[in-house]
Amino acid sequence: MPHISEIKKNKRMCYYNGQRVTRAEYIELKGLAKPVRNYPFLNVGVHNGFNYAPCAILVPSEDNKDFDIVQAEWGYVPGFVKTRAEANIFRAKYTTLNFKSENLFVKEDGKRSMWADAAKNRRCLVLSTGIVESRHIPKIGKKGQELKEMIKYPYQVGLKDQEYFYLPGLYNEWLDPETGQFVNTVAFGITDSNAVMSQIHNSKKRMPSILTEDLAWEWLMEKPTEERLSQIARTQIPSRLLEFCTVDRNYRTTLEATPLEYPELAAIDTTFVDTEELKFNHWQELQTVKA
Amino acid sequence: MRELEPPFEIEYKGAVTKVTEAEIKSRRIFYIQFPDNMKVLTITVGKGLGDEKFWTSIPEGRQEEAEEVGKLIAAYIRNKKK
Repeated sequence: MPHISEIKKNKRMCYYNGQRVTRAEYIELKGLAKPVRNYPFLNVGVHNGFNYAPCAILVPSEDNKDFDIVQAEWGYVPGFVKTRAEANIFRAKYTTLNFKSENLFVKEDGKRSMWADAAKNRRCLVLSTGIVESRHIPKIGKKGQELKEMIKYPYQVGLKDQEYFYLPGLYNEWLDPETGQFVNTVAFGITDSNAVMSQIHNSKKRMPSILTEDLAWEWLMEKPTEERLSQIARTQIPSRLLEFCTVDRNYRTTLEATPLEYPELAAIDTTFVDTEELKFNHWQELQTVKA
Repeated sequence: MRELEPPFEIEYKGAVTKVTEAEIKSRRIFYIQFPDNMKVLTITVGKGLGDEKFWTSIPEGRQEEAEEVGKLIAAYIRNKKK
């Protein structure tokens, strides 16, 4: 007959993967399953927007006091889209990877924007470690003349001394009828580029709106007015806070941005960075404090 | 506590296998990507009843692989220290 202390001990015992562990250890190991499931999408080096890859977003928790990190497909899908095929057609037609921060609530023609409802009710933050954009340089012809054909040089752009940064996002929980599961889909805000990004993303002269931690909190957790939200969404990070380098063109297939020098490529002009002025530089205060 | 390892590679069953370490809920987790589209494996070190340590998979179900790969990871980290 087992001793009473043995019984007590056994009561506190569980099996995890066939191993005898304490109940506390069992709970801890079991509790890891969910965050671990969410881990792989944090580990991807480069997200290719055009395959609607899963990425990490922060959404307010149910009690609105904290936030949760969840998975979303990059490429916003509105609720009225009924099937996965329609969703992909919609994304290809309207390119909903990004939203124009200028059109958060109102479009150029004065009508209500398609983003307005999400901007009011479904704001999130997109976590990023860096973005890849291509610089377009015209090919040179045999006589030394510039040709229309462009050569693309991809750059990885990140923030100095910051592993992660936050982009203002809008998300929608969309029911995928084929799986019967809800899927989060997301777009992040873009704004006018700063001087460095104007040289790198020289075909569009746009860049993601990169938020300070305070603005990220305000965007996600508070209830700012429409005017304030529009201001936050247009945030322009100053050139001096960015770090960048050229990367191998294979980043779309390897999903890794591998630094690579292109000897024929002229350097980015950074002589102006200390005097750069931007209309929506909400990083100014932070720069002053740091200085 | 030991610093997180930058991503590294081990040889498992004759193939190069990518390992990434992360810290989740204060636990060290190893995320293992096999070649040939084999399902990724996540493992950690669990503590048994007698405080003995053992490699285990998260979620449950791949104990054998966890033990095999875990030993290789431990050897990699030990060799690096030398």
